[in-house]
Amino acid sequence: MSVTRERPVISKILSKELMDLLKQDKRVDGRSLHEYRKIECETGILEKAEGSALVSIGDTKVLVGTKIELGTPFPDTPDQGVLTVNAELLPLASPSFEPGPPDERSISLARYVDRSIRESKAIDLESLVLQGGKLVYVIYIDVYVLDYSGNLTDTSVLAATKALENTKLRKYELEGDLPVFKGEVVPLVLKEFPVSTTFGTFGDKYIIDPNLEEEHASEGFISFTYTIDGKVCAVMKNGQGHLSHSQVFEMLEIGWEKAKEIARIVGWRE
Amino acid sequence: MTERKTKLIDERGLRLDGRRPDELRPIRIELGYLKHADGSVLYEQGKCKILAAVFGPSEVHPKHIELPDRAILRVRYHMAPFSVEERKSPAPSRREIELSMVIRNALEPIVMTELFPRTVVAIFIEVLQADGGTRVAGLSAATLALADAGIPLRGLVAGCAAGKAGGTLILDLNDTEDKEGEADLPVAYIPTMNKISLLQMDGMMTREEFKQAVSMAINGNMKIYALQVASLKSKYTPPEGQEGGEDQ
Amino acid sequence: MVPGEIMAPGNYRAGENTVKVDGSIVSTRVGILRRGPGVVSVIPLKGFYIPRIGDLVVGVVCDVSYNMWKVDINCPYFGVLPATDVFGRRFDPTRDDPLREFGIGTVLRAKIVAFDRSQDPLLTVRGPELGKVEFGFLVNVNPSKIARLIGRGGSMLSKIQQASSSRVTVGQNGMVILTTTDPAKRDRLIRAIKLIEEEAHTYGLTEKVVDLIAGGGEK
Repeated sequence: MSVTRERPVISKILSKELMDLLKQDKRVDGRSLHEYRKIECETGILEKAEGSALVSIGDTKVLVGTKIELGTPFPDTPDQGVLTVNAELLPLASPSFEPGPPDERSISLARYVDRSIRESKAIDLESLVLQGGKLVYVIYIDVYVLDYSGNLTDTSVLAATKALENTKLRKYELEGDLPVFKGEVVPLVLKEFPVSTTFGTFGDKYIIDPNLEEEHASEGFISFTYTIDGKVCAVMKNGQGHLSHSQVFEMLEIGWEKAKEIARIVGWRE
Repeated sequence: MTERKTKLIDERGLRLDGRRPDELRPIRIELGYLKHADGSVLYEQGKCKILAAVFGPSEVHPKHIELPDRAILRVRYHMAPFSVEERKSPAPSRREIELSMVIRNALEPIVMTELFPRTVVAIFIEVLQADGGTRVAGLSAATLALADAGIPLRGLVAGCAAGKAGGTLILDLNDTEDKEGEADLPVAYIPTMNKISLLQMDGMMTREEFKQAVSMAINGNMKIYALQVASLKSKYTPPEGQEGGEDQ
Repeated sequence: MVPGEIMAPGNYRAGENTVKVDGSIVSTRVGILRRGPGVVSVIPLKGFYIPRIGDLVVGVVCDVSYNMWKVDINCPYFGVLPATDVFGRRFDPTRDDPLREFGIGTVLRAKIVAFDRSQDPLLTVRGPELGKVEFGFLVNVNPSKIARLIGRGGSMLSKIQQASSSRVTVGQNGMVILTTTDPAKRDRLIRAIKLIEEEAHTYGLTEKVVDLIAGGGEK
């Protein structure tokens, strides 16, 4: 059951200021409409994880850790490794996050990160099979939201991609029916570098990378995930605004330009 | 690369079920299907069978979630255990939780919730038989059920999915095309406002293909909208053109 | 008319069941377009009752507390009947028991005294012909057809009561009380009411209704 949630109370003064500034193509924090906040990224910071990345966009901080285990494949894809994404909106990240089982927000975030990685074919799941139909590598991607200040989507996708980039896995070999680890650790090969860009929409205006107040004041959101060659592999319109198709197409193109910049900022090299 | 199990587009450019790339599946609408609900519809699109029911506006329980200035919406998108090939557990899956939210967000702009503060409008979408495109078919059905219930709406929402299969852009994917094709793009559209209220995509497409697919979906939605309007109007046909009368 | 369908350009006044969208007036419900001088509205096919001050309503008590009754008036909001309305200002919760006066399931004729967006409708049973209904049969009618059921100046309702020689109470909230004890007559009355619901928009309805009640021509 999805139930309308009370919108966070945003003071009328702030929301008016936001709208007035928007009419002049300006934003409260001085950014231009298509400007991202400062993006920072650290990788390999968790010793016990096979891969990790801490990404912050402005004040939003997301930590992603990857763990790899052996397991059984999904019944309908017996010749593929398993990729599974979970997201936790930690209560310490925001007064609006409560402890408990994942709610629709964390589920929808996890599923979008999953689609961004899976549909971009960043990981060759077929190379992660030890014994077809029986034993495969299972990659767990856990998205840990530490500080929520707007735009969890882009921060999480970026952190997941970077975490995978520095993930190493123990190479197992089959002896008879048993997997044996012979000491070789290999990097997980990333064949794509998915990056997402998210817009907040206000009537016919849209801004990229909404911060917390902008997110509370906006009507809706749309996120696009791109691959390195400019194809799009995941799109998600969220929130309650409605958009014309020409707005969608404009944002698609602007997002692509920004995605290229972001990839370079976090150190992706051709 | 895995070998494609089935050829999705044949040499004549026709799809598995014989449709042209831009052809919708046949749609059947039966309004007021459930007598108990305030509004309901049995909606069929190809092999998809969806039941949508609306209750309300009514008082909110528990009271603390009511909103002082508007009605809240409760949306449940759910697939019956027998709706798919392999029995699905009745417990809500992560996908159903996400889609319930996505559908609710797509309906919020059109329901005039500000007219009924402190109440709830409950919308139930039960997929009895699934064959691709259930979230958008569910949305088209939910809109009809809302109109059938007499809930004031700013407009109607029509939904269908476009996508790519066998290298070709196609409209209204069935389950096989969704599972084995290259991309799936559900779009919901409000024709009277010329606005998109739901848009998702997974798969791989060039940006150009994305734009073409969105336009294709919007065209499909215009056709579905015409069917929605026709079905609502047919429930209320004044006999022999008499209108709005009061006799003396 | 269906929701979202354009009815008139923006310089008309938006009447009932319409809203202005992008400068045009559109319908918000499925129904029939009605044009008046400078205003357009829609007569809805299906509607629910929204309380108006002064309306006569028929309700069923569904909850009792020490100082009030909660009354189901076929509406998104429950009606509130304060105990003081019945017991008077000298109401003493230690002596006067609302439950004994009107138990759960009691049918009441009441009037709406107050209603706004921040509080539930306030009812009163003080007044001629208001109060507990001792016997009768409840029929649910689409609230948007009530005006037709009553008729201009009450003409349809009085003809119905004449033709059936019985009292019929019509609540604005779509709840109707039939008091006839003759089951055949009651049956014809119910069919007559359904006929009005279905053909509210036609001419010549009154004759058909009177005929039906009197036992003559069926649809």
